[in-house]
Amino acid sequence: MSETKKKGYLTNKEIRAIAKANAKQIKKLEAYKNRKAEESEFLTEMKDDGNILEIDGLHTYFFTEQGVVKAVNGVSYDVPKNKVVGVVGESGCGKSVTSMSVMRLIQGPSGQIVEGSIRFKAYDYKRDEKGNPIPKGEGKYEMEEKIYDIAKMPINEIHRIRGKQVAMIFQEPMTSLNPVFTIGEQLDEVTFLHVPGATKEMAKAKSEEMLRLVGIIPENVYPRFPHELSGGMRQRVMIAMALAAEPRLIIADEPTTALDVTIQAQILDLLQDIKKKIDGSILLITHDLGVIAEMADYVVVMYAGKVIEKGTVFEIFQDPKHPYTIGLQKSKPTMTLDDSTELYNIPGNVPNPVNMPQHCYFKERCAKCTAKCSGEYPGMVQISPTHFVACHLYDGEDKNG
Amino acid sequence: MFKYILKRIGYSILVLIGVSLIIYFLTRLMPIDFVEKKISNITTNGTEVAAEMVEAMYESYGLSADASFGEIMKGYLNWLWDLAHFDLGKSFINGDDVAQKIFNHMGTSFAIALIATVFEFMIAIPLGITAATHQYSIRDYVVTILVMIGISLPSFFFGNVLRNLFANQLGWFPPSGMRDATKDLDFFGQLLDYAKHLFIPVLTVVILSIGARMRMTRTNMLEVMNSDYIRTARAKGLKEKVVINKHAFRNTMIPLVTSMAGLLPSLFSGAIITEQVFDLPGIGNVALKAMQEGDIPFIMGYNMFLALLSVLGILMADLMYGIVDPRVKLE
Repeated sequence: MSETKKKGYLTNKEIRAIAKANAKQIKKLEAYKNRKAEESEFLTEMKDDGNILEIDGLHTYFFTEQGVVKAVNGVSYDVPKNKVVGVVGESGCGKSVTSMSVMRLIQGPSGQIVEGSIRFKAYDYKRDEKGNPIPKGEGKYEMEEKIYDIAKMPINEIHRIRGKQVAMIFQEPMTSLNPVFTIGEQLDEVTFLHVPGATKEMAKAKSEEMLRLVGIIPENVYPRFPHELSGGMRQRVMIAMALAAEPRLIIADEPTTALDVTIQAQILDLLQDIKKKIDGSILLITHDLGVIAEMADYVVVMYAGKVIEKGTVFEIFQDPKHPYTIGLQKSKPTMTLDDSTELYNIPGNVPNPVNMPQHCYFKERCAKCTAKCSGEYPGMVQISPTHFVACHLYDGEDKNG
Repeated sequence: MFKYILKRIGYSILVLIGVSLIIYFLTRLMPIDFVEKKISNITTNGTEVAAEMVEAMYESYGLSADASFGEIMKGYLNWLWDLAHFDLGKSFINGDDVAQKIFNHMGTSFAIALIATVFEFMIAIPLGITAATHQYSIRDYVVTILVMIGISLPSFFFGNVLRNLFANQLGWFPPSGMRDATKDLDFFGQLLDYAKHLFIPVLTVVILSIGARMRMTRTNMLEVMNSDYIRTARAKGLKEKVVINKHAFRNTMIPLVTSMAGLLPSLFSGAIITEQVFDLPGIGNVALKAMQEGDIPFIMGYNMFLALLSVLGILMADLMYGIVDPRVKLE
């Protein structure tokens, strides 16, 4: 038997080595995740007070049998207060994993946050020495601002953030509601959970208010089970559920992808509307540039687990710098395109996530690549106060010197 | 709902008639013939038995020496006619009324099965849930391996191992039988005596049956835990305990309830092998003897009783299904 090593196949020895290394890493990270810690350990300071969320050098890895997949590999971006930040990128670029990291919903033990910090400015109940909230009228409590580093929080403290401070709208409205509980039960649960001492009437009133906010007549939907509603209705319910605890940040993870086009438009209108009504920010994850252009104030472009360009929506759409962003813009179908011109597509594929090269990940697919591109991974270059790009083409243009 | 139940009962009667027809023919076509056995017992002494005598003997049991289709059909219709008058006939072996005989022996088997099933559910479901929520952990592996050992052991072997350990070596429990005949006991003393006698048989049945139920719970739970609505529940900020015990468990219940359909007949059918090993006067033991002897009325009565319970079990499971899963509408 000749043991010719095929490309992409692993020998038994290699598999064992990977499993051993993974087990060691996972054990360490799980222990860190499940530890007990004082609040002071995960309290921190914001870099810029205008931000509500600062993701800084985040690394989220998946320890698989084939090796370590660096799904999020040093991602940094900020979400300013009361703004909408859109994150774009193709499937598998790590945009969802980043948002899941913020919620700490990465499926362990294989998925782990390895490095980096996620600073979040929470608006939480002020608590007395015994840890009880201080009442201020019926169902109201004194509040205070606290800045948590979500990445350093032990997992049993995460309920301070989840649902109450950061809420999430998922991609799959058809399967995201529990089939055995009514819409009312599932909505009320949010109020019971996040408002100390909430009564049944309070919870129901809040749920009905939220349903009205998303354009649903509460009487029709409150007592129904999820299977009795359409996809669009279910997504509205999901949005109502996300809003029920009045979160500071809503993460919408491809909220319109699973819906048909007319419903997509309705849900986007709804999000636009809500954006004006609530006092909070939205982190909108999508691969639809049209959605971004319509909704976002700031745009973050991700590729293969890294941020390659970020800026205001104007900068990204009017003056894209990175060859990938330019390619993305070109591959968007337009009304003016005549029938004979084929739609542009970026050639090639994303490199294998297990063995990422040392140089720029886009090099093989890039039309403008230079000799420098075979060198180390390009750093962030600042083009304007808000516009950053990670590409060697702009190395000399750094406004900060 | 009421209409649905009536309709289902109507269908069930048709099913039961079909089942009885098949069982009757199978029993009559068995290579064991009660009368033939009886005659051969006589002839072994060298005594001759006249042909008319043989005919008369068959007649006295309501059978016929010639096993043609017409004769069997006649026998079946007679059985059905008696059944319509709530008469299951008399056992060939000792002439007891079949219904009475089933009722008399059911108690022991039912007691063992009920206690064993309660323990089975109480142990298997929590084990399945922990194994699923701690997938690939040491806890999962230990539970899975122990349970697989349980599934793989045959009851006649494992029952004897337990009996040797607890009765012969340690002497904590009596090795076989149902009651201590040497003592005259009051009511509670008698109850305690029963409990002592049933301990090892129940333990055997429980250990052997946990496996399948635990595997099923684990698989269902894993499927549920990976579903989108569990992620939603977590994203709401619910504690993991609530996510598992409220959101996941209600969904895991659905297939478990379906599996309850088989539970009703199994409560009454008796554990044939276990009852043999521990020499218990349960219905399984009696049914085995009837089968070996060709006791047609008893075989028919016993099997039809189980068929009736099966049909009722399925109906009950369907009704329960409508309760635990709001997506199911019974019409």
